[in-house]
Amino acid sequence: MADTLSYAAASVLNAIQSGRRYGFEIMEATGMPSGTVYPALRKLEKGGLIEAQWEPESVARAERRPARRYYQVTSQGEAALTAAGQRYRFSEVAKR
Amino acid sequence: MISPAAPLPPESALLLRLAAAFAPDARRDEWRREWHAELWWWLSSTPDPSRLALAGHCAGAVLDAVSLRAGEGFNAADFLARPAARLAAPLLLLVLLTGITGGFRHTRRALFGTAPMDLAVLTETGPFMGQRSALPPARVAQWTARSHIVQSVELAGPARAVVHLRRGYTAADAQREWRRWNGFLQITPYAAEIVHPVALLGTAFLALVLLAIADWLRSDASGFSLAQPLGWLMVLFLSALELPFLPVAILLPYLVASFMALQYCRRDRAGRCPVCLERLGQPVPIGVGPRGPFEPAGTEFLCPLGHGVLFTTRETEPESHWTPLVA
Repeated sequence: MADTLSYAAASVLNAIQSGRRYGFEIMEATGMPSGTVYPALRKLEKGGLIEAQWEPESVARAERRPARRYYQVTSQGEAALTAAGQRYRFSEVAKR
Repeated sequence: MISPAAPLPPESALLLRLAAAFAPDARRDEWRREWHAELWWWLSSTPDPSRLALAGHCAGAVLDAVSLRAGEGFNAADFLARPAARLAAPLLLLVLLTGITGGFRHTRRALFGTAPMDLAVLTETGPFMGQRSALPPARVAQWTARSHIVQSVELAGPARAVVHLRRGYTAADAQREWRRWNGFLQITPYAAEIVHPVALLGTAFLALVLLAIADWLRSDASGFSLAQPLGWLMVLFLSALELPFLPVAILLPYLVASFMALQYCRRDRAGRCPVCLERLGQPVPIGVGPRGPFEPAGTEFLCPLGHGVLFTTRETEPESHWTPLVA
């Protein structure tokens, strides 16, 4: 998977590594539409480069809002991002 | 102004429903939950969210669901286990057979070929009433060369041919001209051929296959509902009418009846267990609704065979949630 990482997938991975944790935040950071970001997230998750977990329901309920699904880069994803960094030049994404 | 608490605009709601149909069954609930949360956040944090931008995000949800479905791979056994697939397979076979045997040739020509008004059918009646003899291609070519009304002839069979009339002439003009050379020739308007029963049935079958596929996309059921094919049969019956030549006064009831048949199918399916397709029963009002303290938020229905519970709301955009019961 890491060898065949597309630019879109690598950008999404880079955004998550920079601290963007959920879909719409990643869209803002990369400037890519939802129709590109979400399929890329699914592929990265399936390839084991990122993992997702739901925000605790109690936190969301206390704030009267729906719980979000957060993504984070795995160690395999970090290695893939380093490799992708040699092939692609990512647009600047501020660290969080 | 679109608020996160208000129902989504119809175009966005429609896109999300379409997307949910594509999402794989096992991941649909989680997928829906994630998109619900994301859209809620987007609507809450965007100062003046536009309907167009929202619809754009919902279109992204469709692509996301399609990519999820594609990622799951195609499982032929799962596909064939669907009730609609069992119906769609013989229908597809029928459409294929009809296509191979030339059943759609009139429809195809009318739809994609020359304008139907410029086409006519050439037949030759034999010396005895009703008996047809073969049209000799060499003679037909000869007559065509002499004619100033028939532009070209496309032989479709031994006893009949489709002729292409020059613009401005009718089948009656061609009939008068060609009768001079052969008194047994008949040239009739092609439009009469378009309502050939085989072509009508072919069109109806195509409609059924599309319905079956749409039903398969919507359905989570592994059983079989009699009401669905009954609804389809109604559409088939209505499609078998000579629709292209019906006046508007009949066309409107036709469309209304077709719509009602489809609505009946949809509502019937909504009131059945998605596992066994038995009709759900034992309605129980649940919760307190937004309109008043004594107004129930929704109703819970139970599958008679104990497969699960369906909760439906009474909102303007009703939402249903199916909870399977673990034995």
